Amino acid sequence: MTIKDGHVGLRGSPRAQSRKSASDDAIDRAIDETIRRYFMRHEPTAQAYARVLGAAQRPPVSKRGGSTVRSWIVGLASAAAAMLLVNVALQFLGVAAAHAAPDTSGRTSLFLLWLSSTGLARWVNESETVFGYSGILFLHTLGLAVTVGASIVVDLRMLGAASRISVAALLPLFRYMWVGFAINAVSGALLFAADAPRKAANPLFEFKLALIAIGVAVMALMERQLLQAESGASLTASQPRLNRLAIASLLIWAAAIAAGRLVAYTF
Amino acid sequence: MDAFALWVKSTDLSWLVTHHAWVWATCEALHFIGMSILFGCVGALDLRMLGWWKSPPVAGVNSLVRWGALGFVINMVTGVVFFVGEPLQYIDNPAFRFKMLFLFLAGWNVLLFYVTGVADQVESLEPHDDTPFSAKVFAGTSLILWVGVIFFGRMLPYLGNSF
Repeated sequence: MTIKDGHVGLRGSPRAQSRKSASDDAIDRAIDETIRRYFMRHEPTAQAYARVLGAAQRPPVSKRGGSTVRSWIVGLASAAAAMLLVNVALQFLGVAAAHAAPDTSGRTSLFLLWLSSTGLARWVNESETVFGYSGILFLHTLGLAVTVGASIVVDLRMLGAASRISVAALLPLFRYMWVGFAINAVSGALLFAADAPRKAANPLFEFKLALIAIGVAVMALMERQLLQAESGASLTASQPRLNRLAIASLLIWAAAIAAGRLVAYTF
Repeated sequence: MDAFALWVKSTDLSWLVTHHAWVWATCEALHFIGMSILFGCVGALDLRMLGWWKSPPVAGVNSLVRWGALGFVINMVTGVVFFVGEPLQYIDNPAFRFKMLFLFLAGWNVLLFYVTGVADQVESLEPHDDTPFSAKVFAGTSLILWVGVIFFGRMLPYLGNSF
């Protein structure tokens, strides 16, 4: 087999085109390196090719072999640390918010005033029935439980719990997550409208929205990775990435919940 | 009952909870995180048994229930903190009583699910297997009861005067 044959054969195969995994990259790099050595140092083709390709195809040393317990401990410890950090940060933010309040209350934007004066917003605010503020708040809580709950199930599985569930079997859960998120986007918008100027002046509220945006992005990334894994690519390549995403997801949702709860207490 | 609530209110622990703002706020955050863990893990098993998430084997989803128990413990501890802090605003609150009733029923539902052998019956079911009707009843009851717990928990400030 010539170098050219090997190069064309691997690059051009439908398998290499359909999925671009880390090992394919390594093989490509090995071929390039072989060509470089051949032309620059005049090493015998066959020897150089065999050595470089052999090194590339050796199964990667698993750094995580048998250490699910360790990743658990790391995950739980960082979750606890993040909770503490977020609480400390929010304490400071809360103090900053209290100082900023007199300034912002004087120059609330007209849009926010208009928003909170609309019929819908006033109905949300003033309705004494369960369909008003309290019921919408319940829907917001239920949507939270569904989205974050399903997210936690996926995260726990990715970090090694319930290993009898195949990774591809997790995909239907993302539908529930998106439904929960849709409920919360709508109910959250209604709750915001009912109290727009005050909520908008609270820096914690912006912080919470930013965390939710990141949390949803992580959720979408995980779904994409799992879809790729399901469509045939080996999971071992994306496993470290999924692990990191799972830990990030747990931390971000915990922080978003903490921020959301504190919004109710700081103003 | 009021004597009990007054006694709880008079304890040092109650003073500690109400005189440090961070205790209440942190416990609130933990209470919601615990809720998500509990509802996610128990709800996952409910969905599997109801046939709304059929792709995993039942045994795999069942092994998540221990994590749901972790969420329950978090919420029981933080819930006790709230009660100890402000017992008077809970003890006569109708929403609180309904929440406790629903919690009690949900507990019975879990107990019956494992004691009656339905749990063992479904344990061996593979992906996409249908569950027996009894399992669906337990799952549906569980889902309704936990949503009820969340509902009455959320209604604490609105049906009563708790915060």
